[in-house]
Amino acid sequence: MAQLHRDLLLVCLVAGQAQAVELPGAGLLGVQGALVVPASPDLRKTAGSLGYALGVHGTWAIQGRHSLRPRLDLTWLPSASQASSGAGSSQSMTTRVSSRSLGVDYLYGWNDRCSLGFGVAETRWSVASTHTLTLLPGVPVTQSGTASWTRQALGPVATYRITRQLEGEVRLLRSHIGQENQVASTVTTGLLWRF
Amino acid sequence: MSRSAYRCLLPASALLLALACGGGDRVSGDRAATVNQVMTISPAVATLAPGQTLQFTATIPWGGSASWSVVPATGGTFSPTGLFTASTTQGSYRIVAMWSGDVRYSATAQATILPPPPPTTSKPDVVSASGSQQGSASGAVQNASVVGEPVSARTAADASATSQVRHGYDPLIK
Repeated sequence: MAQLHRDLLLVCLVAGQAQAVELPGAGLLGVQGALVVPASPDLRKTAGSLGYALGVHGTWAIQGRHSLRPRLDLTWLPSASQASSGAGSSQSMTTRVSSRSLGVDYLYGWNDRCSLGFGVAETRWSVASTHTLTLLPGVPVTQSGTASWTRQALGPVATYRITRQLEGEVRLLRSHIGQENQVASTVTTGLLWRF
Repeated sequence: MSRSAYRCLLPASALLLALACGGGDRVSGDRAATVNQVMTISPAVATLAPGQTLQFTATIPWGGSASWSVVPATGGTFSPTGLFTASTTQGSYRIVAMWSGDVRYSATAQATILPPPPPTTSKPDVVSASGSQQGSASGAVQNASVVGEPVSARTAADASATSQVRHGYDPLIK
């Protein structure tokens, strides 16, 4: 939680400072919410189908059509279960994936409403797992725990300004997760609301 | 949303989904049914006497410790470091280790606990060690020189109340 507070402070500082120096179109703080679809096979097995994300961002128009958007995104994906059995034994796993991502989007204003660009982020993935091995009927061995990894994420972003304060976006972030660095890609479709 | 919005976001969404969904699947060690593929236990098979201890070791590519269990639990006890102490219950048991760093990784091994040895018994009329046996006052059993082998006690044959036996040869030397 302390890390989350530091992340939030960082996003607000970056956007707030841009506002303070009165850069053109600068420093618009806002919040965003999105639906998140795990898009890589490994992540789909661990994280189920459809999750959601909430976060804060700032928008900093650096020059002409170019802008930067520092952002913090918190993502929660639904739990997923796997099971297998054979030779008198069975195994089941229930996993729930979440992430905390601090990064920045670069956006190029294609026209008055559309922007295209890419995002980079430092993402802290967490997987909460419950693993049950039943080697003898009625005698399960169960362990639970949460594992976390910090990985980089990178991907394209497209946005559409609906009103002065409301903007839609689609992002793909490709990252990695787990000890074996499995590909973890997500597609998010969301709305950004600027104060 | 206006038509220009769709012109902007829909192609972008299609492109992103196409990029995201590419790539094949592969089996990783943190999946169900892949136990033992990444993490292993040494020894994988062990035979122990009742009460014997044995150090099991989990090999984990990324280091760290494991939690240990024996199934069923009557097979013995584990210390946190994997030192197993067998119970006195004969049988076949499964050893389970789960990696503390990510409990999705696990491995199993097999342990067999042998039956306890038969209890040691001694018959009162058998001398079972080298040395001598002191007989009773009635002369029923008297000193018997033995050389590391059982000798049946017997009544002394003469007034000296002494019987001799020869190594490897019984009954008495006449």
